[in-house]
Amino acid sequence: MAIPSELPIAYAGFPSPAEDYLEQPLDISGYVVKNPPATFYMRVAGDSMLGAGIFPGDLVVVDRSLDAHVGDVVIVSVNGGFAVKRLAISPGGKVFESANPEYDSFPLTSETSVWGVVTFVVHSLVR
Amino acid sequence: MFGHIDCNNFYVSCERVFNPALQGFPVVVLSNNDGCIIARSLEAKRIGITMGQPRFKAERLLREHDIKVLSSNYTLYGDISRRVMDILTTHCKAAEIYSIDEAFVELPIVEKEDLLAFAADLREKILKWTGIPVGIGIAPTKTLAKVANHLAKKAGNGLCCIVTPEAIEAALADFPVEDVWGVGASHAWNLKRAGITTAKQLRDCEDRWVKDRMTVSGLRTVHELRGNVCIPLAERPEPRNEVVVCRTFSQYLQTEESLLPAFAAFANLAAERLRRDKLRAQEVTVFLETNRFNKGPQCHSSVTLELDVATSDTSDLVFYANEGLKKIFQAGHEYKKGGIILSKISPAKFQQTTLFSDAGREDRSARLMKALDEVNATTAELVKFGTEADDSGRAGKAAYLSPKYTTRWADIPEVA
Repeated sequence: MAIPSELPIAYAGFPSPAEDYLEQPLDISGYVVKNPPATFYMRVAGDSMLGAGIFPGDLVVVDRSLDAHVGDVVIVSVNGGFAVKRLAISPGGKVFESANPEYDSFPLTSETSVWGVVTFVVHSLVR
Repeated sequence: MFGHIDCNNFYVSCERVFNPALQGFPVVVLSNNDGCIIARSLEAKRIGITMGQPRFKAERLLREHDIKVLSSNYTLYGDISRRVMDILTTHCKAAEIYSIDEAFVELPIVEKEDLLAFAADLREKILKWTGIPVGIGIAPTKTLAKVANHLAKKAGNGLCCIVTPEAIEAALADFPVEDVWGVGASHAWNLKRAGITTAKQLRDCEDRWVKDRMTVSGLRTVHELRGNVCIPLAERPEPRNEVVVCRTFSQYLQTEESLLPAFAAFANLAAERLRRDKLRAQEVTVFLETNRFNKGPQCHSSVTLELDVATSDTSDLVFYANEGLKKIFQAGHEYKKGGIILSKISPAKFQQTTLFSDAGREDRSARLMKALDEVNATTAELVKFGTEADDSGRAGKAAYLSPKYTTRWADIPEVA
């Protein structure tokens, strides 16, 4: 969310030399949200994608307007909930893979569909 | 060329985007206070749940068919609506947001094949980007575009384009006159008595006859049915001419003390809306009602207070709400509903003050309201003003509220 900051335009009655050069401060949503109406945020709850650098508690940015290609990390709608997986190809067709040997992959079917493509993961280094 | 877009079962569709388990199941959404059914999925419609039905009346069907019940999550619906409307605004030449789930657009294209292709693409895009299924009707006027959309819905494919005179003729031939935009129940009744039952028949009526019975706006509707644009796209919303805040209380309120916080809250909310649109009000109407469905003495009382100076200051409006309440409150009644209506609305810019007003107070009030609005914008709970602090008795029940998936960090969906 952009919070326009108001720098004083006049210091003790004198105009600021920066007046004509002011720009908005950097806002991370400008970096991470490419298509606002199609962008959503989700919270990672499990460890199935550790190998992809996605940790429990992380925030993921999901863009529904992108087409999912093999190799993309996507949100899948499965079993009445959501999961974050990588779209892969197997001899039987497209599958959703985890980046953690503890988890099995499962196929793309009418019961499992791509909800959106994960474009960014935001990982906090401080608790 | 105009397009009319409307979202299918909008509130239910919003809920399904974030809870895919609801797809394919009967779902209903309840009004404020969980009182009435205001949205139904197709499955719920088929079971026989009617629009606007009080919840308790549908209880048996809800239980028998295991229909999922949700409270209205307007925060979510408003956000999803904004997304859908943004897509329309950026993809079409011009857009008019008509309601939370309906819009008219202007399309620069003229060829039928191109129009259909464009509409199909737009529909797919909205579904993909937001998860919301919509129907699109395209025609040379807004009124005809609504006819087209209606047909699209009935046909089940969500797309309908009526551009040629033959197509329009065929569409209007057995289109019920009461379903024409601008023809309400009472006009429809009068028309049917005169033998007019279809849109085509209405279209073919004489201008003079229509104007006499349906006024000039009815005439505009008829001209639109004929393919003449009489109702242009309104890209900017009309400025408000009143602000209404009213609520049905979740339990009966019988004492003045129990009503004070409610009316303070109404005044606060109304003042917020005024300030958001940079408006002020000079008239405050306060009203109270008993439950009209109960036996026993009924009471609907109201009073209108004229203010010397138009205001949008919360403390002023809370004061007047209290004054009004004191005037109309009568002991011995079980009040079920109440509210305030602000009228004589004017832009905040052009304000006349009286000879006796205190200019310093204006300035202090403006700064206080700005601070109040800033705090309210960043915190989850609205800052409550004095008498409003006590919540009990009139806050809306919302026992089945889904999370605010897109506006609160604590509520965003979890992924395994």
